[in-house]
Parts: sequence; structure tokens; C-alpha cells
Amino acid sequence: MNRIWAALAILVILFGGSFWGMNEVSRMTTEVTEMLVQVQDTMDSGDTEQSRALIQQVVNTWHGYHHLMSYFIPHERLETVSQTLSTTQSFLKSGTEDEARAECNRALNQLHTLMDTEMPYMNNIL
Amino acid sequence: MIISLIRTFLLYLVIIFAVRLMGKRQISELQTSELVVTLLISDIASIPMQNTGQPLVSGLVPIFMLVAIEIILSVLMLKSGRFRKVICGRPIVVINDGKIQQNELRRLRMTTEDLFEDLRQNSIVSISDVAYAIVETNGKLSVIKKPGKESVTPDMLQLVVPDTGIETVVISDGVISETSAKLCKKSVAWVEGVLKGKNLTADQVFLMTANTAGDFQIIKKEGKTQ
Repeated sequence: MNRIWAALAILVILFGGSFWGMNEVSRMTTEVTEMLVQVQDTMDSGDTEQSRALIQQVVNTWHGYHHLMSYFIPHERLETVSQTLSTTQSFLKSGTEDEARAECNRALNQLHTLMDTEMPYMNNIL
Repeated sequence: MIISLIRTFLLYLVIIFAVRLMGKRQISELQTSELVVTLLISDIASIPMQNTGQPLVSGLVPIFMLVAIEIILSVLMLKSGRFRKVICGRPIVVINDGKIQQNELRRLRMTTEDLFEDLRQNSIVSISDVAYAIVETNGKLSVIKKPGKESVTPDMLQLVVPDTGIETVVISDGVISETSAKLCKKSVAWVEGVLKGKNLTADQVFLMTANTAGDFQIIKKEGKTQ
């Protein structure tokens, strides 16, 4: 009978951990997405300095989240977002705003996909 | 590379723990569900072991999930015969009262060669010796011989055989095992007394066995038997 309690404890830990992981991914990707939308807004308003400062903030925030998420998300998926964010930052630094905007959109899509793939939707399960 | 090394060690420990948690059944004859779990665990564990880009947790979560399911299923099978039948199936009689059940063999997709191979593994050389043969849920064939073909036992001859109890290794390579001594209802003091009577110390003994009746056998480290 001890084994059944151990099995139930394992299930509680697994479900608890999985729900925590899902919520954390959702929280972190939403936060970075909102920051990227702000970067886009500042780019649209022509405030290049502010958008450069904001993208630096996004890169720093993502760096911290990347570390945490790498415990439970395949590293490849996280690295694609990291690469896109660095490219966006480089384009903003070099003043090529159109490319920066395109890369920013790509990062938003990648974040959306990242969050989507971690959710227990039917299409992900089946 | 060092990551693979550490992960392999960690996964080894996890799998040992998982198999221990699932119990002794897992390391002997496997039932359907147990076979599935064992195959899946070995397959899942190899992924994060080889691919360092895959988080270790992605291997640990399914392993522990399978362990939990397996334990819960085994408890449910213990409580409900019907549930056990659904998961493990039921034993199938392939030789009934000396007659081969051809329909059952066909249903099991078992050839007569397979049947005879299993019979030979059960030390049966002639089918005429068999009264019943049953394919158990773990795939093993159980054979019941015809009464006249059974080996003669002391009970059949109405002989009284003295019960010597269990025989255990009480000294192995000079080390006295208290647990083994207790198992054959003896104490360390009894073992030491026997050794004293033979002018020996435990260090000089390679192997000493004893049984409940008090019979013992000593093999000295030099290899001499007493």
C-alpha cells in the first residue's frame, strides 16, 4: 500500500510541476511579448533611442527567462527566439528599422508559437 | 560530452529507483502492461541521455508518469479480476485432457513447433505425457502431466522425509552473516561455537552453510571440505 501512496505523490508532483511550468511559460512569454509590442510602438513613433533602450531590456529579460525555461523546454526552441531578439537589437543599433520591425514580428510569432506548443490544447496532445 | 555523462548517471539512478518502486514483479516474468512500461522507459530514457538539447525533465516526467500508472494499474488489477482480465487477458488451455485445442492454438497464433518447443523446455518429450497445458497471461506455458507420468514423490511412497528447514550461507569469505543465521533459526554465537569446536576462526572460512536442523558444512579458505 506504500507504493500506491508513492504513486499518488508522484502524480501530484507531476501534475503540479506541469501546471506550474505551463503557467510560467505563459507568464514569461506574455511579458516579453508586451515588451516587444512596446518596442514596435516606439519604432512606429520614430523614437529610435527609446526603442533601442527597450530592446536591450527585452534581451536582458529574455536571457533570465531562457535560463529558467531551459529546464523544461527543448533548448532549440528557446535559442531561435534568442537569436531573433539579438538580430532585432543589431538592426536597431545599425539604424535599419524596417529589418528590425520584421525581426520584431518574427520574435512575436516565435513567442506565440512557444507559448502555444506548451499549452494542453487538443492539437498539441493529438 | 560531460553533460551526457552526468545525465546517464542520473538516469541510471532514476531507472533503478523506478524499477524498485514498481516492485519485484517488474524484474521477473512480465505481464502485458509491465512489458509496455519497461520498453517505454528504456526508450524514453535514451532521448535526453543522447540529446543534450533536450531537458532532462522531459525524460523524467514520462518515466515517473509511467511508474505511477503502472503502480495504480497493478493495484486495480489486484482489486478487480475483471480489470485484470482486460489488461492481462486470461490463461488459455492449449492441451485439455490430453487433447490439443487447435482452435486455441490458432487464436494464439501458436504453431505446433512453438508448442513442442515449450513442452521440451518443460522437460516433456512426449505429448502423450501431458494432461493439461496452459498458456499463462505472461506467455509462459504451464504443463500438468498425466497422473501416471508424474515423478514419484516421497508422499506417493508414504515415506517420511525429515524436515531440515532452510539452508543458508552463514559465513561468506570470512564474514559472518547475522541475517542468514537468523533465517535458519541460528545465532552468531551458535556459528562461533561451531567454529570453536572445529578450532577455526571466521577469517579462515571461505564458506559455511547451515540449516534449521543444525547440519552445517564448512569450506576452509584453502579449499578443504569438512
